[in-house]
Amino acid sequence: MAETLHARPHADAHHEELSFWWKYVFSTDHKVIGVQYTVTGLVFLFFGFCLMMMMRWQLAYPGQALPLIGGLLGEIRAPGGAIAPDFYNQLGAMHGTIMVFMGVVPLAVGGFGNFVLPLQIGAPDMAFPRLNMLSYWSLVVGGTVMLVSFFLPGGAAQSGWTSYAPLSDIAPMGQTAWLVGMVFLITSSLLGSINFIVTTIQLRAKGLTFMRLPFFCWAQFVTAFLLLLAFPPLEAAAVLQLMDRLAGTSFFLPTGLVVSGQVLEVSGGGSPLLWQHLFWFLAHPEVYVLILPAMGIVAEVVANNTRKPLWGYRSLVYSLIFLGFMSFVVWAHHMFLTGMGTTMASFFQTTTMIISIPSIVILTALILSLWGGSIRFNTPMLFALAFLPMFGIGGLTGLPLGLSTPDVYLHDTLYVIGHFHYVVAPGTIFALFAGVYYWFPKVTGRRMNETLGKLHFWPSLVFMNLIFMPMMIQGMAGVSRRLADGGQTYDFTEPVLGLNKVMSHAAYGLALAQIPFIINFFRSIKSGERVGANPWDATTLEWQAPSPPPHGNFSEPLVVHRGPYEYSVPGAQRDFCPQNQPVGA
Amino acid sequence: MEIPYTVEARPDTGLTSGKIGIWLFLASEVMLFGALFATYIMLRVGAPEWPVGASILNVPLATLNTIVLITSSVTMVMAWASLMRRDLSKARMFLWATVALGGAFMVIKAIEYNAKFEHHLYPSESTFLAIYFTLTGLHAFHVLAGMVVNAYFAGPGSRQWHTNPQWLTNRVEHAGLFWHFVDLVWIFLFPVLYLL
Amino acid sequence: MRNWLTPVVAALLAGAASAATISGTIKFEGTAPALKPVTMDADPGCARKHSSAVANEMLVLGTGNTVGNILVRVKSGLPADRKYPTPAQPAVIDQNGCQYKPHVLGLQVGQKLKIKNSDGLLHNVHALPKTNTEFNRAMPATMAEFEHVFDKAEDVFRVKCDVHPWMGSFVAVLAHPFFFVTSPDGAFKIDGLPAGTYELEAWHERLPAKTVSVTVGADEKKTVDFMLTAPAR
Repeated sequence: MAETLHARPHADAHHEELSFWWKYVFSTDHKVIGVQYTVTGLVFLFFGFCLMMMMRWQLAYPGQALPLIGGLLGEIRAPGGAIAPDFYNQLGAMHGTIMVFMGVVPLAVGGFGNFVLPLQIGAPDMAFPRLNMLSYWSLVVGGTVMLVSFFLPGGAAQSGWTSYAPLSDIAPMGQTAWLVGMVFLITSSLLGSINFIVTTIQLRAKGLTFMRLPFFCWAQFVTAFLLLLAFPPLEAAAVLQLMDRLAGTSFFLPTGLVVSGQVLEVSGGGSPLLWQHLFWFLAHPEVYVLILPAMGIVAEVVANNTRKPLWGYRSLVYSLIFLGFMSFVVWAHHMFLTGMGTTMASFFQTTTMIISIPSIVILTALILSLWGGSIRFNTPMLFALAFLPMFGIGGLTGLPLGLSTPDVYLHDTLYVIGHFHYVVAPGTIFALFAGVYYWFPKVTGRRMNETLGKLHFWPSLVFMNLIFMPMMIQGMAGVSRRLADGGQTYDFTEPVLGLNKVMSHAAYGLALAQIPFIINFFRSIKSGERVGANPWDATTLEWQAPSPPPHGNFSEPLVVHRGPYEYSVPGAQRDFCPQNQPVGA
Repeated sequence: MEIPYTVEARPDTGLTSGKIGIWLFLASEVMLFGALFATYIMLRVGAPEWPVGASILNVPLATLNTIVLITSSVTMVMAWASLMRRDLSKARMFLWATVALGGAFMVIKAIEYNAKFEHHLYPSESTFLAIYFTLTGLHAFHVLAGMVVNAYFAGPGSRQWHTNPQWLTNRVEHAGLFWHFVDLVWIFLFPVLYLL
Repeated sequence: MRNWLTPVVAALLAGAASAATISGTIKFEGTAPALKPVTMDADPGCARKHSSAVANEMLVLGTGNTVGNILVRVKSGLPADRKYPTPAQPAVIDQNGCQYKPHVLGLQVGQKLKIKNSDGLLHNVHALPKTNTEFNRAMPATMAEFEHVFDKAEDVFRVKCDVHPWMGSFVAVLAHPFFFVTSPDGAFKIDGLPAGTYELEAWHERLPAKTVSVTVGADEKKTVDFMLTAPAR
């Protein structure tokens, strides 16, 4: 039998001290990479939030100069300090792109997934540490390209985060940068997803069967499959659009396309619908990528803070897997208004209704998990609890969109924006906040402050609703999305136009509400209350490692004897039994 | 603690991590090329007229390329088999042969492309040419990537044989899986573009 | 646009007293095709500015089928090393009645282009040169004008408005002052030319351009007429 030496001499096996660059910058330790992803994701989230605040100023006060920074934007982006329409479009397209691909996914999957998953399965690291490092740096390159695109002549991408052809084919240079940036971001996710799947399959500790995995791990596992299989068509589409823009092909340009009164001199024969199909084939599974890790986090926090097992673990897991499969066959519900016949519309409408079932099962199971629980209302739990009704509203408001008939009216209105923001903003992002407060002690060895946590939570909850509920009202009144003046030019918007000011002021309030969080985050790193390995009295394996865990995580291999949520087990000494605690001990 | 199952298989799955990894990667590649084939279908179905591949493309050269690639898959398997039989020098020879055959493929491809460009048949000319160049171009990029990987294992990577022969055997097997996939894509490309 | 200051200065700087003139008339042969008027329904603000149908700007004819909006220019024949002073006066394009006025403009390298918005509506000026840098500037209702300078000579390119798709104009940036854009009367006059043989071109946005070779002696006045014909269908 061949020797089982290891492929690459691991630095700690030879007990060398790594240089600063290899230890902190190009680290292959999943915990360092997880922190890198988290910090990067939070920075991009903040940047995307700033873009939104600029947009909201224009919507509330169209044509008025932006206070403080209007002059800094330059005469081309903001003549006289007031946002120009094409700059507004850049803000819109980049807000969406940055929040989805550079904010939420890196944070939810790259950050939480990377840090927590190996610990929760009792592994020393990910299966492919160097690939992990490459994934992170690919994200950084892609993100940099995206940000730099603002400074290109013509500005950043401005054809929506959806980059619909033919407009995106003829858009300024920034669109090319968007496509190149997407290739790097997609590569990052593809490599990362391979790592997550192999790690979950191969590196589980002894005794940790699949049905003993914490729900968080299942969520990351299914998410990884979504990323692996759904992203490549978008990568293909990006290549095709790059060919259209740079090599003069007509993949998405129909014959006889007239641009500003002149027929475009291209071969034609292409199809704008083709772009939509390729884009949405990814982008629908992508929205499940945005929500599944969040559900995973909420599950962990809820189980821990109710001191009882999750209700319906098996239902949760089967729903998750079913959801993953279904997410690949619903994409054309984003395309109901493209002129598809009633047969196709019925098909996608049906699959969309079916996919709501596993989502409802998961939400219901999480809510039922609260029943009879001994609930601790700490900050992570507050965010996790708020997730439930907020995701509920988001999900329910999706139903009229998934039915092709009401969608005829609601498509491309602010109702759609309200719907998906409810799911992602007070939905996913609240869950991510829960995760930050919950796992901060594990990462840093210190607690975050509870008072500041509540000061962050309550105003955020109020302002989130003040932003997005009026948005749904405007949408139902028929106000279209992506209007640089907020709908002013149309008479019928007049009754709901005043809501723009409400929403913008609420957005600024939401910004202020994040200040306690930022202060808390940095202060606690320096001087938060120190904690041991398991400050939350939790059952899952990451709490068996020191806080923070050393390189290699566990001093010796763990053996798992129990399921993930053995809280309040009758006859046990404490109200929780860690997964690696032997039975009958 | 070191990361297990990099070289030896995990008992309950029967697989090494690398093996699962390469199969997952190939699954994503199937989706990538699948999307491009779907593009081909959508463009062709929607086109009022579509040229017969043989009227524009060079079928004999492409047939030769098909034979070249299939042969290279054989040499790739022989490389891995040689490692299983602990014959490093034979393995390296077969790996270099695979690289050479990949190179031959690229040369023939370059001749084909050149001939097109000389007749002003650029991707911008028609959607047929656009999808032809994109599909074969992306495929050629994958051939090139495979050549680089194989050359690495034939050259500097082969030194690992002396410290960790199982590692090298596994990696060559994984590279072989990738190479077979690249060959398989061509087996689909050739009839779809050239013959149909 | 008639630029009367430049030829005088050019003639002075040229040192030679040569000020040859080429003038003439551009006519259109055949019956004028019936062109659809411009519809501005997409923007009621624009439609309100016109009480009658807006003529299509593509072919502007005067009495006797004379053609306006023709850019007549010297394409070759000028001494290679001669540099011409940049005019101090800016060239002007005005967005007026949701149309670019003038529809065709010639200006010199380095000459200021003043773009005005007399409409009090949102326009955007999207210039599509290939040699010079492309630019796209929003002009909100509150912005009355801005200036731009092209620093390289360039053949005719389009300027369009992304808000109003019917709006379009044509601009050429020349390294010399020997060009003229006709009014509907079809008449052009280029003076201050040094003696020599020149290739003179009459350019129209749609009709095929016509080129004529003209030789002028010092101070000679020559007349060259152009007859433009519709392109073969």
